[in-house]
Amino acid sequence: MKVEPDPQIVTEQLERAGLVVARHGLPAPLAPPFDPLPVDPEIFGAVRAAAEFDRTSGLLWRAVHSGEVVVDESCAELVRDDLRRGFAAAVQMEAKLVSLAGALDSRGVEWALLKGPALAHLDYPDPTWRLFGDIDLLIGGVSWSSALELLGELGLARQHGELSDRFTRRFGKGATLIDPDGFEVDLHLRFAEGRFGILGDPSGLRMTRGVLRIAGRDVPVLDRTGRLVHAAFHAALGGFRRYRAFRDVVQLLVVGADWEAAADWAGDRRVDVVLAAAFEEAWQRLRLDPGHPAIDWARSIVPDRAEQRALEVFATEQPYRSKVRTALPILPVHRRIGLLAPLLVHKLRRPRAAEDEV
Amino acid sequence: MSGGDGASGGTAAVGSPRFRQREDLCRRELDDLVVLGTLGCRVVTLEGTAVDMWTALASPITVAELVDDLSRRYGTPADTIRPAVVDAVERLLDDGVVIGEPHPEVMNAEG
Repeated sequence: MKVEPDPQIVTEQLERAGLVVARHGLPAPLAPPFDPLPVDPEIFGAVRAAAEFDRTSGLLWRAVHSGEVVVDESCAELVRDDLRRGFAAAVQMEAKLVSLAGALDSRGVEWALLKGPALAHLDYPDPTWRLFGDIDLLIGGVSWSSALELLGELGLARQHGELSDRFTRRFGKGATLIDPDGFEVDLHLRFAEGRFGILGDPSGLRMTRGVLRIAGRDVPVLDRTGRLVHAAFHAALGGFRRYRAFRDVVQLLVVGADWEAAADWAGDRRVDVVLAAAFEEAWQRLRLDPGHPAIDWARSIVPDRAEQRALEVFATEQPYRSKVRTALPILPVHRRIGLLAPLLVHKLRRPRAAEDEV
Repeated sequence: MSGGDGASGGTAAVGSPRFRQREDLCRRELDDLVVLGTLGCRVVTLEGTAVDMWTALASPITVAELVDDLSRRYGTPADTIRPAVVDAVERLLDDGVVIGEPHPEVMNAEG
């Protein structure tokens, strides 16, 4: 008779394995090593699934091969299968990106590659460490309409149910487009919806060329300070935040991102609480040693009540409308109508079950 | 590709085409696993001995040189592995991850 594993043991092993995987390769003073973690074969499937969902299979493979996660050979081979799939998806997305890059450049669009592939190539030891599931592009405000038009011409369509383009330009984060093969491109005007997205206008960050070539094509990216700002916004305010979002923040710090420049940038725009929240949560989740000046700085930043409320809306992953409404206190009265009215109209037009998918 | 270039035993035939990895590929390489993406979005996965061949194709190389290289590496007679090498290079060409180019001495003679 097969004995089902104790759910509590499953949860504990899953959590512990996720933590060990997320810390793999961080320097010892920052992340003192744990004892090797044996994982039962019955549980290892869930560990792999969690890693695949969080795009950390590259880290899991290394944790297994370094002996930090102890499993039998057949389990190790399964991680290799996951990696094979992850790599295939990554190179396909990069091939689409290269084609897109040529089109964006020839149309004169101001843009930069964000997140997954940029971090994988520039901030991790090599791109096999960091997998990704879509392509994120920052689009300069002046280029927004021409970028949308171009992607439409290339067969990418906006998802149904998104608010109007006018609303996005004034208050939104961006748009998600999908091609007939299911390839997803997230266009970002800002790094978040609502208060922090509007205040932390990314147009002040430096886009740079000549540092990332993919398949021979020069791909523009944010400089490392900008990549840290964006990683922190994603860790503190993004959806589906598990370990990887926080590892990205710490990885950038480890490879020398200028966190003080990032903090200054954020302070000038009244979004330093976002960086501080991301650093604080990264330290907690990854159980890092507190002897780092970035965490000292983060703990010195105290959000006011409005900022705290706004951070909680994102931390608890409340609906899109709630996130957008965090902008109300920073908007003049006449612009508040422009934010609330489209949200109300949109809510009335949509079936209830779909409301939170906006 | 026309099935080998007739050379054997350590000398490359002058005039044989040379083959090399395409540069415009998206790639992930980890130990004996190589995953390549062409700009046409084709995915090619190489494992085991195919990775040794892929590594040897990092610089332009004739089929004869490739056979010699792999023959030495595996301690296997060149004649034994030549058909498999020729077949593999043809497949890599078909997949669009390797390109052939004339031997430089041929180009010089034509130039």
